[in-house]
Amino acid sequence: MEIRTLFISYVIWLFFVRYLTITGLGPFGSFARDISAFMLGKGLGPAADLMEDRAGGAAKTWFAHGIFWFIIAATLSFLSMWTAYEPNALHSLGAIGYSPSVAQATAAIHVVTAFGALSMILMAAGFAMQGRLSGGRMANEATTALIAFVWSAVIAAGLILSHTDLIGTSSWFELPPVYYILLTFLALPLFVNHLLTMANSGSPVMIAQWFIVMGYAAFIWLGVVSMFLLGGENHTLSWLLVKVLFGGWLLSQALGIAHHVIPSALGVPLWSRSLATLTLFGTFLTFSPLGAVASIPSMGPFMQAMVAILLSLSLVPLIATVVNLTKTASGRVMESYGVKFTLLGVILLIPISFGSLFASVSAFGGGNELAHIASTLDTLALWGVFGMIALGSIHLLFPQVTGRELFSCAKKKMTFWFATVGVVGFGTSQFIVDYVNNSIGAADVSLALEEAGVSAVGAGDVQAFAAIMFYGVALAGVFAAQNMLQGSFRGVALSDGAPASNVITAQMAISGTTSIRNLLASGAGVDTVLTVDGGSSEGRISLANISPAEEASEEADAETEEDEEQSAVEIPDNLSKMLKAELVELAKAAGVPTTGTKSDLIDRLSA
Amino acid sequence: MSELPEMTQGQDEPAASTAVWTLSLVGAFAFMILYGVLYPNHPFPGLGDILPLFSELGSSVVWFFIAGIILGLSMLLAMLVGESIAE
Repeated sequence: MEIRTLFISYVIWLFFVRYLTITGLGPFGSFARDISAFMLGKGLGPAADLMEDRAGGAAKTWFAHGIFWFIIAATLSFLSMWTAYEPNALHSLGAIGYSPSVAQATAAIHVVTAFGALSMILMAAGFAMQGRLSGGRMANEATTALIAFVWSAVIAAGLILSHTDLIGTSSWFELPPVYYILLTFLALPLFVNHLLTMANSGSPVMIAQWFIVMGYAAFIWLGVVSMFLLGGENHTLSWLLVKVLFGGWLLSQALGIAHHVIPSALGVPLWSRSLATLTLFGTFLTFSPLGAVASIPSMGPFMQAMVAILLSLSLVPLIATVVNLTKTASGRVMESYGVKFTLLGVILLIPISFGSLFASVSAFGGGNELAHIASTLDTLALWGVFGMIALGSIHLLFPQVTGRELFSCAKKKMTFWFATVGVVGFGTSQFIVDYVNNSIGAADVSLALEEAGVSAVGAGDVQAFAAIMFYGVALAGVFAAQNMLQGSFRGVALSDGAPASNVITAQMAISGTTSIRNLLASGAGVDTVLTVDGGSSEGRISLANISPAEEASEEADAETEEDEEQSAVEIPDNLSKMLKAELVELAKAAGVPTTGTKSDLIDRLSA
Repeated sequence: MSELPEMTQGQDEPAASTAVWTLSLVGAFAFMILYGVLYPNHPFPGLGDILPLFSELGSSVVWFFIAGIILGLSMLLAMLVGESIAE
């Protein structure tokens, strides 16, 4: 099938979903909403009662499954890198029947990483975000949580299948096509749940929500179109499937999360609305350079030129994203680990996309001269971009759905540094390995070496170094999982679900209906000037939920009394014999700064 | 007979100590890499060389890394059980 036809069908489907979303589930209106709600709820029969239909329950379950697969996927990737250095390292496992070929190990990594770990965490973040932006919860939480278990079972089945002879040669889609149709079948109710949640809320659809819902549309198209692989090998289709998997699904989900996490964590609106819109359209209407390993042996010059143009244009939304989100977080990156992770992932998009662009253009009917670095670029895209944004969502959105902070700040720090050093260290050293091995493997070089009687050792030790560096990513997953688990049981309870805004926005344009919560989340304050529908004087803002002035003044009086009580804390004489933790508590109670060494604290308390 | 001081261990944790920790680890790590490069005929012992119980696993260093992941997952499981019981 021609790539032109396939791409046009993709674009038409996306526009149809956009129409459905704008019109609140389309022309069927309330009937579609009712039947969808029934199918997601009571339609399942007794199975619907297996999970609790509690706000945030779906996202929590998906996060828990996602982080488990994150550790498994990172471990499998590490083992694959290590066996490239030492092929016999795991031969002892042959005794229990585990001796995968390189192709089987690669297929296992692909299914667990792309469809398991990263998809599940990004989907979890999507549920958390959607619920928060649409009135506090998804339309259906119980069934969505239940599907997480089924999805995990399908990923586990994929992991087993990838170690059999059933795998094919289509890169990133090695398993039988029916497997991807099954995943699409599972994604369909989740997609409907998103549409239903948005239709029920009536709030204006934000950019982040568009990314999420259009991403689901792309994923569903992916499963349906992969059926054509049943007809035999099809390079064009395989190429397009990889591009939609990376650009339409993973990238769109990651960008949706990034466009929510950074403004939400910092309490400021996005720097530019037009750049965000450009990113949204550009992501879906161009070919993503990510997924560089996909190749087509031969293609006509016209199609080569068209695809090269669309690949190049895809850099525009990526650059727009980086600028927009960097400016949004300008000067305040260090305030939240969610922002740190997310922004690092977003910034890494630029070098990885540029590298992938050259590799992709060369791989589309060209000489594929950069094939030796394509796999490394894909691994970096997965773990450096999507993995980092996924970890960012865990650090911001997981506490919101559990109602408790992550347990340990030290573990957050370790997760960040292990992941960062792991990805950067792996990337730099693996590129060295790729280039050295490619150079040594070249026909003229190997002939010259043979004639000179020299045997080249390759870059084996650097390969080991790259694997060890990547091990940091697996450890980051373990630390994040421990922090999530302990935090959900014993973390500090979040006092208020409403986001706190540190920077008050001076002016804000709103259209349609919105809530006070959304305004506060976007950085509005009491002095913010609201412009309804681009300057029109029409419009109405309800202030029914604001407390009466008397109550406010009573609260203010109570706070003043508390402040007076705090300043009257008795300072003991034997400060030097107290532990630092006790001094910090005392300093908090006395209302003096709690930073610095023990002697600094004693000086402040004694003054 | 000399009197022992009342307190020999402080409670302070200066920021520089973190830097010392990090540098020490990086230095040790760099040495291990250099060792493998300078003395290629003297590889590091594997888990099976150190603990005879695991001798069937072979002499690859990768088992130390795998053991780390298994330890991490075991800790997760233990935490899950522990926290559930504590609840």
